[in-house]
Amino acid sequence: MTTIHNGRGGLPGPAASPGGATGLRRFAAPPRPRAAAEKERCELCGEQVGDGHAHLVDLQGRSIVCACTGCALLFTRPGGRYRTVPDRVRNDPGNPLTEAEWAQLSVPVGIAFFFINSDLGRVVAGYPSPAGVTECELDLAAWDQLAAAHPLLAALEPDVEAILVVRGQPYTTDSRSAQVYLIPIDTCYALAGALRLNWHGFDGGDEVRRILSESLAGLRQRAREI
Amino acid sequence: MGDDGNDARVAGERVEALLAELRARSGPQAADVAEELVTCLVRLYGAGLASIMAIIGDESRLAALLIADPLVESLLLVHDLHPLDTDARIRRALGRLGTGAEFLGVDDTGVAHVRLASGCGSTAAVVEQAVADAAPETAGVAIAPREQPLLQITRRPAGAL
Repeated sequence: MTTIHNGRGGLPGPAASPGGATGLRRFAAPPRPRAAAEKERCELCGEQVGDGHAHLVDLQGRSIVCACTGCALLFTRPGGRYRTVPDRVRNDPGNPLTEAEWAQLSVPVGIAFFFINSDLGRVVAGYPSPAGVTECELDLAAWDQLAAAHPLLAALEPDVEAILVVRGQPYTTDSRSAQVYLIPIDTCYALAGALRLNWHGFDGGDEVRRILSESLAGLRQRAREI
Repeated sequence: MGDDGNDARVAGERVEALLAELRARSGPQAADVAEELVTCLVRLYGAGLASIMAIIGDESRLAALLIADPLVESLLLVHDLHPLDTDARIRRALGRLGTGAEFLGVDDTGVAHVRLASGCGSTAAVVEQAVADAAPETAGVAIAPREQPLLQITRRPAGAL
């Protein structure tokens, strides 16, 4: 008969089988729920990150990367390749964007967002669509004029934040004004992604309207006045 | 097997040690990939063993020959393919220990209950290990208190012969 050793000592890892007698058993088990293993990781250091993790904007790659809290804290100041996306949401209910001001921007849709691309040195406007985020032309002079009159727009941090503008019913009670929020750029892309996934037909359909309404309700709760 | 330690337990320990080394050197992502790689291979061979056992079917003579080989037996245990059921394996293992430990059964939570005999050498650790080896699918081993021994061995009273 086999000599009995207690081979449990020093077995590493959270996944080591509790019995330890035949260590290979854990590999033979039916496919493990991969949720834990598939968890997102910090793209800088490889640490596992939870659901509410931070994001960094990679200014060179023009992309958003997931980050652990430690790495996110390293890149809160501008001046490097990475920049941490802040989590503030701001609005300015006392100083709404009027229909006339909106018209000056010549944005043809009801939902749009704006962010400063520091690489291009300009403001980029985008709107969600079934094809993802579509960029549109923007009159920069008009933006500057608007920013002068609206501290919320002037507060926009380059690359890491966006101004979300939603106009028209059913999102606004007053059809002549728009809901305007300063939001983290990752929230903005998450919203655009959700809208794209659920887009049906010409105007997006009920599901898109529901997602947008819920997102706006969430932003309303998170928002503080500028 | 035996001298070269080539059984599922030794291989399992080696795999764990290598994964730990990889995790320390190359980070958790590399180690996770390696874990999946090991899983992939182990499951392939497990599927092969399952087919072999299915082909053998009720040929108890062949099954007995297979489990007489410690390497083959250890692999069958890894893949839950052992022809003997849990109770039979635990009884067999306790019988091999020869220390009179009594198997009381496996409860709903998968814990095997064993009562130690009063003889020497029947230590909880040895029995636990034997049960865990014979039935790795059990969740643990609970040792029931010994029954009162028939003969209490005490110190010789002072002055007695």
